[in-house]
This record gives sequence, structure tokens and C-alpha cells, in this order.
Amino acid sequence: MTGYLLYQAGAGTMAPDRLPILRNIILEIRLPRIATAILVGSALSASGATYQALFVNPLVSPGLLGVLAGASFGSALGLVLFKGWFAIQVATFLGGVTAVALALFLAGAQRNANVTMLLLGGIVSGALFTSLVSVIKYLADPYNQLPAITYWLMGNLAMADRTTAFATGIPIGAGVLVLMLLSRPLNVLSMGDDEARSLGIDVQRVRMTAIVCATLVSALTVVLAGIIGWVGMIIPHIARMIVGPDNETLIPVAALLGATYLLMVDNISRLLFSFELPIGIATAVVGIPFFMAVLKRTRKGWY
Amino acid sequence: MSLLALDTVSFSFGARTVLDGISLSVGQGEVAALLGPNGSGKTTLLRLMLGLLSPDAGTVTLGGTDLRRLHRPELARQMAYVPQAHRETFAYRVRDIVLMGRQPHRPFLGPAGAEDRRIVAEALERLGISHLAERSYTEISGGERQLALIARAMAQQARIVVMDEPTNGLDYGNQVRLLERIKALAREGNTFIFSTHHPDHALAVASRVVTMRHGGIVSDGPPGTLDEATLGIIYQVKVHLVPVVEGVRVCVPALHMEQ
Repeated sequence: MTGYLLYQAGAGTMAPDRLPILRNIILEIRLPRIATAILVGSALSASGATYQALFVNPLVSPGLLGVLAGASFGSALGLVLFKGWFAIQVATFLGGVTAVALALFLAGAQRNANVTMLLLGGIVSGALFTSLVSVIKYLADPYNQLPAITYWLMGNLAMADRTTAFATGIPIGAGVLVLMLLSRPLNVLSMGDDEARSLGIDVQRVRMTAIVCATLVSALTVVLAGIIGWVGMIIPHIARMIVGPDNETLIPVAALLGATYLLMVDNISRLLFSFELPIGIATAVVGIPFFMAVLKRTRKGWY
Repeated sequence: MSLLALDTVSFSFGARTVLDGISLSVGQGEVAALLGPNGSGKTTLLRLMLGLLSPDAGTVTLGGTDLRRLHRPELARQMAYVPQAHRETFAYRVRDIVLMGRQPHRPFLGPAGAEDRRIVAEALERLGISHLAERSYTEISGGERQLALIARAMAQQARIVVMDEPTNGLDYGNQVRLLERIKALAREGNTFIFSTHHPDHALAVASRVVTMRHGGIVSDGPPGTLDEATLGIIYQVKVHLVPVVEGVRVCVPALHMEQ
């Protein structure tokens, strides 16, 4: 059976000693890349949908509290300081978590932060880490390190490897699952804090759990693939236009749609030109016309 | 028998004292109207009653238990909040908004049960907005949104419904229709506490009128005991309470009588 399939795929005309190479390409390169695209697409979309519900604003993205800026800084610092890829990955993750922790601290979240304070904390933290990335770029060796940093921050699925995909797959899956479980309280929370409280929601606990999970999965997407913009903002938006604003269906649908979308865009970015277009650019280039088409079809339900 | 009681409650935002030694109790089946000028502390008082704020001094008790000792879901099963109609949310269907009232009764996981759906349908029916069930909350009018929020409070099956200026921003017809609904629901035994800027609304539906000024209570009693002097004190304008028919009075500013 397998032999037949391989024959059909053209492997029959191939010398038998080349089969291990084929196996290698599929298992070590293609599959991890597919898994990475699925993980990153679903994680960014689910956390984007969550933030949109938390901040009652359809225009926010997973980077709102600074996680992407912080992780960028971690990556840049790692690329300058460390040789090993693992150390860089750890720096990336810690950078993302640190930036959100700073945003929460600035917002006074240990007491009882409202949405506006969180937003301000996120803006300040994001701006700080964005400028720190510039500092590192400025100080970095312009022949090797600077191009590496710039290229990585454009988003890149080519670094996908089996070990990282496995290691991050479990926490990303768990994080997205928790966000889905929080969907009903998130619905109530988007009516405003006072109403949510009087409907029996522990606002502070739901909000902090959602932020922690969204931060965790977003930071891990940067570990896997650098900065991939637009997905986390546009996909939840498109999902909302398709299935409506109820988070109980919206978050799972956004996750599925995000996974599909990133997989599709990755194929386009690999195959469209003779060179590989960085995925972060491709998501925006493909995403914007797609978004405009959907927007034109659905006039109502913007909010 | 007092259901919700405030005992010498004080509250301040920083150095500004908003409420000063307020004592008030509301019994089962009462409809209490809160009258007072802007900044007199009505909204703060409602927020304290709902447990959204904690008093600096004094206690707020529900059925004899301090609010601070009740968990959110437990409190939500006893007391519902109808805020001023707003639209700053996503385009949820009206049915889904009303279903949110079931939140404190539902387990953490799982879809809405047949019982929840029945209660939601019944709440929509009681408010006369069944035809709006599938419409989006952001598309309906302010008056319809207010009715949807009251339906949500009904689905919450709470003993007390607290409303912050329920008629605010509604056209004249919707104001009257809303008051009719409140009166009808009160007859079924629901307890209402609401704030309003219209003495007439208090006179029309309340069984009890509480007037406030500068964070203190000026008068508290059945609507029949509300007098012109009290309204003059709280609003600092001259008004007349004019009998229309036996037992029915309306509030008319002195301005109407000027030639």
C-alpha cells in the first residue's frame, strides 16, 4: 500500500537509496513546519479573540500588553549574546513574559486594574521594549547579527524543528484550551466589569487567567516563528463576521481559521516566488485584501 | 421584614465623602425610588447595595448576612443589576444577552440546558420582547435594550433588582412603557430599587420614596408623604405637587404657573 502510494507520487522512479532522504524531508522538515504553522496560527488567533473580548474592542491584537515587543527584545538580545538556538528561544519567551508582567505592574493589576489602566500599561511596556529592540539593533554587528535580527523579526517558519514543535505544542494546546473554557465568562465580561460582577463573575480572576494564558501562547509563537503580524487581529475579526460574537463559538472557530490561514499563507509564501517571502510580510500582503473582501460582504456586526 | 439593609454606611472617594452615615432598609416586595440631584450619592449607594463597592464604615447586609461574606455567584442569585442602557459591547443576540442572566445558576462547563432556555424564553415573554430574541443587541433601540437588560435580571431570578436611572435617555413613550413593566413585575412580588431624576416616576410606581442630598438621606417614606418642601430642599427649585384625581399627584415646577 505504502509502496503503491510512493509509486503514484513518483517515488517509483527514484533510486531506493534516496528513500531515507524523502523520509527525512517529510518528517524533519515538512511536518514540523506544518505543525508550527498550525500552532502559531491558532495561538495568535485564539489570544487575539480573547483580548478583543477582554478589552471590548474588535481592533486589538495579541500584542496589546507588550508580549510581542518583549519577545522581540528577548530574541534580539539572544541573537546577540548567545550561540545556541535553545538559549535564544528561552530569552524570547522570558522577554515576552517580562513585558506583560511590567504592563500589569504599571496598571496596578495586583490590586484591581480596570481596562483603561491595563491598556496604558501595555502601551508603555510595548513602547519600552520596542525601543530596546532598536537599541540592540543599533549596537549589533551590522554584517551578521543585524540581518539575523531583522530577518527573524519578519516572521519565519523555516526554523521549525520537531523538538520545538513538540515542546511548545503541549503548552500552546493547553493555553488555547483554557481560553476556550473561559469563553462564557469572557462573554459576560464584555458587558463591562460592574455587570459581570453582578452576574456572578469573579472579574479579576477571569481577566488574569485569560491574560496569563494569552501571554503564554503568544510568547511561544515568537519562540517558534518570530513575529507574525496581522493574524491575531484579522482572523478573530473575520471569525466574528462569520459566526458572530459569542466567544463560545468564536474562540474555537478563530483558532481553526488561524491555523488554516497560516498554513495556506505559508504555502503561498514558499511557492509564489523563486525565493521564500518572510511569512510575517505574506500574512499582511495576503491578509489585507482578504480582510477587505470579507468586510465588504458583512456590513453589520462590525462591533 | 428587611431584605437588604444598610447600617450607618459611609463611603468616600479619597478625601471626598460621598455618603455619610446612611441607614436604610428595603423589604421584600417593596419598590423603592431614590431621588436626588446630580452628585448626591445615588449611584454610589446603588453600587454599595450591589456589593460593587465596600463601605468605609458601617455594614450592608442581605437577609442578615454581610455582603462581604457572600461569594459573587451567590450574591448574583439574590440580586440583579440593570445598568443604564448602553451599547458598548459586541453584537450579541438579545437572547444571548438574556441568557447571561443564567450565568450564576449554570455550572462552569456545558451548554445551556432546556431549563435555562425555558427561563430565558419566559423572561423575554414577560417583558414583551420575544420578537427581538434573534435581533442583535447593538441594533435595537435604547428602550428595547433597557427592556432586554430587565429581562436578563428576570432570567437571573434574583429577589432584588437594582436599576440605575432606568428611564434615562428613553423617549416619553418608552419611559411610560418601562414604568408599566416595572409596576407589573412588582405586582408579581419582585423587589425593585431604582434611582431616577423624575419625581413623577417615583410617584407613579414606587411604594417608597427616598430623597437624598449631599450624601445623606433627607426623607424616606411612602409616596404619599413626599412633600413640596422636601423636593425644594433637594433640588433647590420651587415645585408644586398637584393632585390630579384622588390619591394621584404630579410634580409641576413653579415655572409652569408663572404668567
